[in-house]
Amino acid sequence: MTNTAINFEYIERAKRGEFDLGWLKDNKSEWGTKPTISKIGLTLRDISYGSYGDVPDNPKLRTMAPRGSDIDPDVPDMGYTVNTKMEVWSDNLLDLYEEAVSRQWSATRDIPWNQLPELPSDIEHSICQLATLLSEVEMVAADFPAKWLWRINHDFVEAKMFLCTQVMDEARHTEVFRKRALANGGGLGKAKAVVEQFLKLILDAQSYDEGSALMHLLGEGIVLSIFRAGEFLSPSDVEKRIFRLCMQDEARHVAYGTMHLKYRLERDPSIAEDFHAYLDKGEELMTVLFTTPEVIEPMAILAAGGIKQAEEVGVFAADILRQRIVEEYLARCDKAGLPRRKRINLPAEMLTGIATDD
Amino acid sequence: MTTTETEVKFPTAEFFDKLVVSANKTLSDKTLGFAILKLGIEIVSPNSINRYVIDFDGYEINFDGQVESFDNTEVEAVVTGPQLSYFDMFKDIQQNSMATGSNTFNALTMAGFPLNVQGQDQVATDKVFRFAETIQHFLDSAHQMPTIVEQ
Repeated sequence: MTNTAINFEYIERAKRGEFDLGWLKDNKSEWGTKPTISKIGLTLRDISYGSYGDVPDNPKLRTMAPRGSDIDPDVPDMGYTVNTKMEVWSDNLLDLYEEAVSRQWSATRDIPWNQLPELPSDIEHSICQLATLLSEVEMVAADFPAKWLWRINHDFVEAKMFLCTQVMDEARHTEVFRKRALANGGGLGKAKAVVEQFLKLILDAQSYDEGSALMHLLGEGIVLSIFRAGEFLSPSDVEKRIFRLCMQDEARHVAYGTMHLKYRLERDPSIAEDFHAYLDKGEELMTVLFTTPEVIEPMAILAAGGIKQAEEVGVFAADILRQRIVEEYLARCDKAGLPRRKRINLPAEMLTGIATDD
Repeated sequence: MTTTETEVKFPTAEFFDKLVVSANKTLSDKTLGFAILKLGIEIVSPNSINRYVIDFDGYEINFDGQVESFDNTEVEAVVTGPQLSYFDMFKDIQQNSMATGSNTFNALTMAGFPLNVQGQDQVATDKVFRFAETIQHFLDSAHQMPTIVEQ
């Protein structure tokens, strides 16, 4: 039991100038060692030297004490439930955190809102519907890490810090798409139950493994492709900038998700089947998303340049986008060491042009 | 490959050298954040293939030169496509001070044509788009250069 009683005796001694100085004498830190500062500044990688850089696979304590500090023996247990490094770690974490902090942007300041042109009604409707969808889905990628953050052992602090940047990124994405829907005389469009089902699947994940596979790898992979398509199809330079800035953030999250899964499977290949099962479920909903008018039609209309032209070329454009999404997702699974080309849970007609041999 | 003060030939090492200088003038304010990426640019014409290496090195960009092959470079991803598509992109940038419509870097590479981004693997390909705004800034810097004429 931690002693939290006030030590009046110590106060009296300190008044007489008799300091304890135990914290000074007992220090076991690597005193005198200095990091080499990188060209871009002092990075997390720079300070990962000596014992400070050693991230234990299975920390003994469940404390918020900084990793590498001299820790009191009677620190309280914080109740962390994610206490195995491979559950959250990835080899690119430290760099992704630095990148995220360095490349933050403001949806208020960095988007030239006053340059939004007046758009034809069908185009404005389409961009507003797309913005509605994205404003809806982006927040789950803040809610999910936030739900798990406090459960993750503090010895994996760099992973927690990266997830904090993701929470901020997603708040900004929710903000920027809400702003776009409301900025140009349009407004919010339709929110679909099937989309909410997919978000619920992520939020209700029974483990960080499950949620991360569904969100970082599958969900954000899809959204990254939608952001890329959004930039391509943008009716003005304002939306182009929005999508470009968002895609940068999203690509970081996907990079974490892919490399985290790789790290996880390299250390415990026996759980590959669990991940396959998570993605089987996710892909089932992905199929429904690909056939949801509110998801497909706005992009088809933007691609065609109007609702009339969309009847001719819009479906073709949507097919190209779907093919791109699926191919990139499967390539990420390959990289992570979870080949799914033979197993992917999509109807055959949605796999035209996709290599389905591992 | 001679140039006048009002013209620069494309594609040449001189062109990319000047483009890097132009981009670095404004990149130093650090507002876009740092970028770390070694990017290969492959420009294909009916008679030749030209390859260049661009090094996004924190808050500055370096031109690592023209190469015969990317094999012995540390290039993480290569952008490849026909010379005409690159040239049209730079013409658009010079006319509008920035790439517009389907001439942005992302738009040109979105479907894998006319330009394609090919990383060592999907994570490397995705990495290029982690720096989409910096790469666009780099390309848009061509608007401050002398008139680009096709080689």
